[in-house]
Amino acid sequence: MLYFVYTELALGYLFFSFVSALGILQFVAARYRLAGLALLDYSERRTWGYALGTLFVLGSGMWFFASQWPRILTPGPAGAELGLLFGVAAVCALAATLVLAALRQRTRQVAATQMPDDSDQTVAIGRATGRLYVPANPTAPMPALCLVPGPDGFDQASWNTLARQIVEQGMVVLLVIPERESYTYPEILATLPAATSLLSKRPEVDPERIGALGHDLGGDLVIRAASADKQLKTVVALAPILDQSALGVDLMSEMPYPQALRWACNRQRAKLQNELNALEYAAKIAPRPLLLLYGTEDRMVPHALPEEGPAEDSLLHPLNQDSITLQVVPGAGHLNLLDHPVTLHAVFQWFGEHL
Amino acid sequence: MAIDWTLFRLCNSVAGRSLVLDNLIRLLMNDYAVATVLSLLLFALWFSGKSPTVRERNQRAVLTALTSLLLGNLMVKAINLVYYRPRPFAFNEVTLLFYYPSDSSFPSNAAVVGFSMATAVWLFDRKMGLVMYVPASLLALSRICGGVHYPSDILGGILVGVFAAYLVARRSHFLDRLWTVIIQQMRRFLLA
Repeated sequence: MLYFVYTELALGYLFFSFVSALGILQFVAARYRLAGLALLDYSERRTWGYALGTLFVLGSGMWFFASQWPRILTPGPAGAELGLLFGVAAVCALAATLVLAALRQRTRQVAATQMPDDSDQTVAIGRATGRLYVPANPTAPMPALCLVPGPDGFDQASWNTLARQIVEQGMVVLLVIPERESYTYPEILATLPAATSLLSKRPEVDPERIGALGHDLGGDLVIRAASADKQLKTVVALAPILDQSALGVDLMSEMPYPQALRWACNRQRAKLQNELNALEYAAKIAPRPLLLLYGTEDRMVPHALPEEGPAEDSLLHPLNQDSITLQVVPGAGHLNLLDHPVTLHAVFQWFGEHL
Repeated sequence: MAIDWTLFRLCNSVAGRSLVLDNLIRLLMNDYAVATVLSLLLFALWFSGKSPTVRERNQRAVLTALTSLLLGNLMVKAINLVYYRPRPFAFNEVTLLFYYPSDSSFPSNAAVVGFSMATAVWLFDRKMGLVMYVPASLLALSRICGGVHYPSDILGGILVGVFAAYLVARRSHFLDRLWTVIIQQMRRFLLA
């Protein structure tokens, strides 16, 4: 039978444990860059996480010992009761952290999606839809790019920005809008040929200079499509999923808990990745050039490529070909790889050279 | 046990000289402070690690530490069934900075708690284990200074705690399979 001796002391200890556990989670979130556990954005300043953690732990500790000091020096709850109180507090702190971190990121995402959509026009690409971005005053037929996002976590603002920046480089851009129903196999295989067909019929596009860029499973798709579609002159795949995705806490490195859980439980995603089988098809793009880019902080794709290339016993060893360029972006993760300046520079340089 | 008494007197002599030092000892020797610090370190350790391999090792350390704590406490209960040692203040004049505990002085339950957890973690992660030995040692020492344990009680508690951790970590291979199942299930919910 549990006996807590003093109700006020037990409740005080519960609160102290709860707040200090919240603080410890902020230390962990800042130290290991776990966005799903972060109450504030520590991506730029880890010290904020350490400061908040210290404040929570020391503040709650000082409050508890100052307010309960006389009772602490008298016989109180036994170890089992204290263990139970700490366990309940730790579980509640974890739940509260996951919810608050998700709300924080949700607020940020809503703000991002409220940015105006400045695309030139919406077009049908087979069963999918896309947005076409054309330079203001096209003079001669120019190169074109087809952008394919992954099926999850579509950040409209990032893709719009990327499309706009590519247009400024003098290219036409067609952005495929990820819709769940269009990301099914084998229907998805028709998307890129339909996109290249649409682009090649545009008067401002040079049909001999069409490339593709995909991110996440969009990267798998452009690799698979380019292996059969010879009209694609070059391909860039940003963090394609060539092996099994990560599981566990690592998925919270860039996503809030609900989104990470949906990602982990999405069987359709894993099935599509297996069916696209980009690892095998990557070698078939040769002799056309293929650029694979991964972020060094990408913990959602556990095999993230080492700078010296995949080892001989690695599943990725078939990628050691002259036509395939492997590049890592220091400091970039999986979802933010698209926004990283090094990525943008590498992409612009690649298409400038190969289109 | 003359040396035991001499060491006790030496440690206990620091008590009652300064209010600040007395309160510091009370802060360390109570049932809440160090136990909570050790629990928070275990809580942090569960999510720590830069790679899935390191994190899994840390999570095994946490599960081992909790089981060691349980086993250590059971061993203390078993020892207390057959052996009762009065507290230092029962028949001697000592400076007591705490309430009068009524249970057996030997072995020190506080030392068992601290050293079972710290040793279990040390067997997996030397650095974190050493960090945890610091509060565990301060708790043990403060219990002597505060007048509630003889040094031999602490030594007995340390031995019980270390032995419990060793048994769980190195001699209970069936637990490894249980830890694997628990970690895999937690990982499905992104909590490991």
